[in-house]
Amino acid sequence: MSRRRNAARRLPPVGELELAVLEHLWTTGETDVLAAHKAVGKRRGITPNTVGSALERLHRKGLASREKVSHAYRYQPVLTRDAFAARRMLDAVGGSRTLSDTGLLSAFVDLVADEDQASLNRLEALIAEKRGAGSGT
Amino acid sequence: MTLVILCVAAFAVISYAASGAVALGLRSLRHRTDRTAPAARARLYLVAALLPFLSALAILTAALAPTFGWIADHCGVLGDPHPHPHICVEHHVAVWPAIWLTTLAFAMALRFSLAVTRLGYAVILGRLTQHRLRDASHPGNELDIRVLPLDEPQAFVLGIFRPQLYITRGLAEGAQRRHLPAVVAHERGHVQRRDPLRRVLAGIGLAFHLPGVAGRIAAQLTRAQEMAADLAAAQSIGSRESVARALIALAKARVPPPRGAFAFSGSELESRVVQLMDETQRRDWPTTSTLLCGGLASLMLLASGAEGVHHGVELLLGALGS
Repeated sequence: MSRRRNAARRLPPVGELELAVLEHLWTTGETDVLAAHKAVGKRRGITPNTVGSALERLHRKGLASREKVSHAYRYQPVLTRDAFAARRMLDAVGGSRTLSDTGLLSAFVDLVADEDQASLNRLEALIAEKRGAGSGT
Repeated sequence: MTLVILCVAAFAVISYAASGAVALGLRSLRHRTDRTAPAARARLYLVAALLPFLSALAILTAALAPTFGWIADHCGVLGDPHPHPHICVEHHVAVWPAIWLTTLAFAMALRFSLAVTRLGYAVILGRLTQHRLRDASHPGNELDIRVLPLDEPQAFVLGIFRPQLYITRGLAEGAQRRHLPAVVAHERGHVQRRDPLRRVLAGIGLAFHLPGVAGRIAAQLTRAQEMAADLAAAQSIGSRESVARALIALAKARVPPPRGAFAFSGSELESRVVQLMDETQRRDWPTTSTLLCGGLASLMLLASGAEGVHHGVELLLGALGS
């Protein structure tokens, strides 16, 4: 489970065209296929379909969100440019799990632990109970 | 060459025996260690991690005392042919050790190389990561903090010799901002206690443990260090509850939507929260000076009995079929 969660936390591989489309998204804040093709695709001599596929892949990889406006999707970046760069740097050295395993990184809470919401609620109840007992005495 | 193989094989046998003794000792002392303060437990687990390496090194050094000219060898008393293998340059008889001892020696040499490589890797990776994260982050409001432009609330220290404290923008500016003092105090606790350096050192020592023992000690050491940093944070900000609440809040911000039931008992977070809310005074013993005195006394004992140690190691190797 931990490995799967860790994999989910690492950035997926991003191709050169996808990166160019992301740059366009960061600059404009929002785009559709035709606008992205005009900015990124025309000078590369590629079709709007190819740019549309790149946007679709970014959406599938969790790097772009989208909403349907009329008949076309409009895409927004999920991460800021800075956040993307920071994540890439962490990934470049093996990710936070590798850093923890070598003893280099100590995080406040385990980055890939598996506590679920119900467990955390029970711990909150435990704190409240202890506080109640403390103030009652 | 055969002397080197004998020495490495002796090192392996001693370190594995010490690892077995450590595992048994920790098991029998488990209830007692649970009642000690986390800082003392972290010290104990660090010593437990290093003990096989240090004891094998000390015993082998004492056993090689005749080679270094510190004591006279007993070969003259025993006469030739010697009834067991020599670990002495002067009287060494080049008889190839038993195949399993040779294999053990090569396996230990390999593990030693891996431990050294691991240390080098950790140092290089640490420097590389710090360099890269420094570029990706900007200084925080306080001198020792740098802020990473990430949205999830998180904080960590990174590095071995001079660990740097990082917090994310999500923690500094987001909904979890009220937990910032507790989180930063916890991470400063790690920095002041030099936990990253201790963890890397323990990682090297654990390479000389029996398979299966190392993982348990590493997990217990990490757990004790986290608990010690939690208590240091609670003392620093004057509230155990604030640290416990910060732990839960950041874990909540991290978890994905509910996916069904998971095991609750025994989780790291649960132990930390329960410990924080339990105000029972725990004994902070053994202290660092107690452990150092114990180590020094053991070394003096070994030095005073070097002749017996030398003979004992030769007998051991003889009994093991060299």
